[in-house]
Amino acid sequence: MNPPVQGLLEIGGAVRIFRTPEGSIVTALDEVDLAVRANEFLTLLGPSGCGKTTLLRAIAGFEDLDRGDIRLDGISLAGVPAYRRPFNTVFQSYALFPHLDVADNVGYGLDVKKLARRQRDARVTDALALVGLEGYGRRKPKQLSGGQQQRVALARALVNRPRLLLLDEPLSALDRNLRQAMQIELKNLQHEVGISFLVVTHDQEEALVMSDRIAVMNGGRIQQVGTPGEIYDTPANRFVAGFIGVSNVYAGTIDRRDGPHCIVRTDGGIDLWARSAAIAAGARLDVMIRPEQLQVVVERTALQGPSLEGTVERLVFVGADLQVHARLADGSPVKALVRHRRTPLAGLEPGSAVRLGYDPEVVHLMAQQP
Amino acid sequence: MSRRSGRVLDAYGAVFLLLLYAPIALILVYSFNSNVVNMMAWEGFTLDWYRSIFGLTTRLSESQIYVHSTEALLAAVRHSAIVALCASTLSTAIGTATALGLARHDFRLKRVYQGLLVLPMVMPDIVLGIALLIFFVGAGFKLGLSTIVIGHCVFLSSYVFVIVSARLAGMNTELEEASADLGAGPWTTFRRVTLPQIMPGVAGGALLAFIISLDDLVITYFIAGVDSTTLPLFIYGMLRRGIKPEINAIAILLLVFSFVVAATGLWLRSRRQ
Amino acid sequence: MTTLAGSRRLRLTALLTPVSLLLGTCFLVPLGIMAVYSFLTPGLYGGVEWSFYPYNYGRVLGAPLGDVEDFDPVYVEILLRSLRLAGIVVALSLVISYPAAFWVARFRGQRKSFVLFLVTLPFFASLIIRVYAWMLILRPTGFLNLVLESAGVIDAPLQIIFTEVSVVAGLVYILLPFMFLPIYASVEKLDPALVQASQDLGATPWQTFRRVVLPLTLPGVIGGSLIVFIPAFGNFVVPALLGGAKVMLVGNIIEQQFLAARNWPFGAALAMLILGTVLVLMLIYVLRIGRGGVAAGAQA
Repeated sequence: MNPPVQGLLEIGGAVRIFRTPEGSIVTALDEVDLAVRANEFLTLLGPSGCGKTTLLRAIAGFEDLDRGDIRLDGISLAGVPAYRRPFNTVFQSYALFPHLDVADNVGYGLDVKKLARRQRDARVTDALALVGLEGYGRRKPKQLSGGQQQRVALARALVNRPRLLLLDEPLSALDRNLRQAMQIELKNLQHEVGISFLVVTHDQEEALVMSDRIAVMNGGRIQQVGTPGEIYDTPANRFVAGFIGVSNVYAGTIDRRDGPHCIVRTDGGIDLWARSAAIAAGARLDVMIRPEQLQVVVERTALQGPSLEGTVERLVFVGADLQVHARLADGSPVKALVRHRRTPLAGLEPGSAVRLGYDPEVVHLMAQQP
Repeated sequence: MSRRSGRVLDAYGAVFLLLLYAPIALILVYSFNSNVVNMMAWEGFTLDWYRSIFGLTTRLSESQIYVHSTEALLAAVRHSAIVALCASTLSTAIGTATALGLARHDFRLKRVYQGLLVLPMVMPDIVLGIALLIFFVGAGFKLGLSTIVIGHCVFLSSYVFVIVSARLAGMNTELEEASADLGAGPWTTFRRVTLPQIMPGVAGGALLAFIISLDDLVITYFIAGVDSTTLPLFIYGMLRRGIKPEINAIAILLLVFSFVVAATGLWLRSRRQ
Repeated sequence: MTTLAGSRRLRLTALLTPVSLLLGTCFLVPLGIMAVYSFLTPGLYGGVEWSFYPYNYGRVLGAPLGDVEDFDPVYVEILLRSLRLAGIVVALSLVISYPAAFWVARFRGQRKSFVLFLVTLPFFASLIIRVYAWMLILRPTGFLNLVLESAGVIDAPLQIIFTEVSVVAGLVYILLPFMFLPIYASVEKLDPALVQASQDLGATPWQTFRRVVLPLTLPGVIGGSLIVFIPAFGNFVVPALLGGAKVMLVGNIIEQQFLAARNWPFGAALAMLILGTVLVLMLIYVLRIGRGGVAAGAQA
């Protein structure tokens, strides 16, 4: 008995293997399972070469899978060509047809479906209005700015009312300010049209800002799927912790339990307190704590609860905050963040001893990757 | 680069252009020379040579001209036009299809095809000419316009292939994917996206094929039948019998025609999207 | 079940079928038949007899069939002359084209397009007419003699036509574009910053040319040389019109075998020798310069 259909689109056991021209074999997708829910903003996040674009292209119908299945409403899409799939794509290069004007670009999908002229024109006008490009219909793509071209690409895809909108690095060609504005705008647009968006990006900040859920990929595998908060606070493994935000991760074993807490001894011999989890003593694991969860005090200041001791190496100003790079007793690096600091605390300078307090509740334990 | 060496280079460029154009200009000048005894000595301006090749009455006597009746000349022009039109149309279709196949697919024999397509262009045309002659005679074909068309297609397809391939290489492949993504089938995508994008290349390739076919002498020489003389063969025959001034007029008319076609083709090729 | 790859394969097959048929039947098969012909016995009245006969090559290369045919060194001479003249044509067109490519490359924008157009246009003029132009110039009563005589440089007309000089002049004129365009393409790609960098590092103009400009434009030079050499070597129109009976090249001999002597196997053997030379040159080129180069050269 299959579990009830959880998503609009379900990918099960997807495998895609490429042979490079040099003859080596690359596994772009390695047993990928993923479900896209109705009306959600889902981001595929990962470094370049992690397989996220391959997955997107397989969904769009530009690539075959070697194994596994992609199902829409429970029906397999195997062998269905791209032009019969009710998905539309916003391409990384936008891929606007240079020989057609904006209105004809937007109307292309309707034209090939032979929609009646009046209906077609009305929908093109609506789509252009949706992306704020009223009156741009007669321009050629080359006459538009990068941001405007992207809006045309969005309108061209959305006008077809796809079941799912696929976006391949949609913001990568825009400059920083425009990119930040478009992140919010894309999110709002998704709300407005009520269509699921599946976005591929390598930019973690972008993913955190826009997404309802994020699927982190690496090495052809999905590492974790969750809300931005889950991904940030409780990463599934060392890769996710490192890829999203700044983190301090140490490998270690559970040494003992102490009431509601357990004590993890890192490979460098440092003890860290964490909330007790259902892991047997002696198990290998990774332990993570985010820099902003470390409270920085100068040596010998009294602190409640457990703390780490280290030596300051460097102080780095990050806008309003101050980042403290230090080394623990065993030499392993640690980063801590002092909020809203323009000047270092008195006595905090390279070479000085520092105490980093933390709440065991926020120390996060992760299974080690095989 | 110093100004002086720049000037030297400019002077060289002028000489280079002179070298290219002077021989052609010479023909042009002499095509209007009214001296019927010594065609190299300028006597005065006349259009008689042009008149004579069109069969119009002139003051020239029969001993001064080859083309006693314009029929043979017109037949040669007609043959050349038929061959060039058929061969360029066929080879444009074949070359474009090949370019699409090789540019948009990866397969094991791709390099073999690429190499094979280069060969007809770089092979000495006399070799191709006699190979085709032996083949056509052996296979029992009657030499004529159709054998010329086939022979021309063999090497013209490669030229079209190269030009269209260059155009395809400059085209964003995502455009075709975008078209499919928006619901267009392969044929619609070809007609509405790919073809408009590569059209300058296809048209340029067709014109180049047309002009090369029109001008081909060596391959045609071997595979033309007795009654399928083309214009270059006709002129070659005239030249082997000696030089008479009316050939200047024929040459200029042909030159004007091929320059117009070539200029159109170059313009199409250089035009950006 | 149809896969995307499956329908793509189907489309590929459809796209490549016409060219496969065309080049298969009308290019590879004829070349194969020609190769076979070159080993057949010439018939008495122009036909062939289907028996193995290596002496078509023997006649040229010095191993004839004793009592029937003699080894005639004239064929070796003609082959060597064809090679030598083709070499001279390559050298001359190189010397003429190389500076011209730099001249054109110095223009910018619209003017560059126009100059390039001017340089390219004559190449589209009918080949036979471009050869004819040189007949007009080089004949005893031609333009050159006319000018020289009226200037008082010479008393009697020079005999230039029907010499190697006139054949070389005609070949250079018609083949110049094949040298110019590949060289121009590589000069165009040459980054001026590299020349400035070389000067900045203290190289004299000559050293800059030797160590930077020449190596970077060498692919164009080699590609151009190859595609000039090939048609120059096998040409028969230019020697027929500008060389007459005195400067016969291997192309003329082949033509004779097919249209006058009607010894097709011997003609086929000579053609195979040309083809072999060309293929060897191409092979060296492809192995040393790389695969893309041939197509790029031919394209230009």
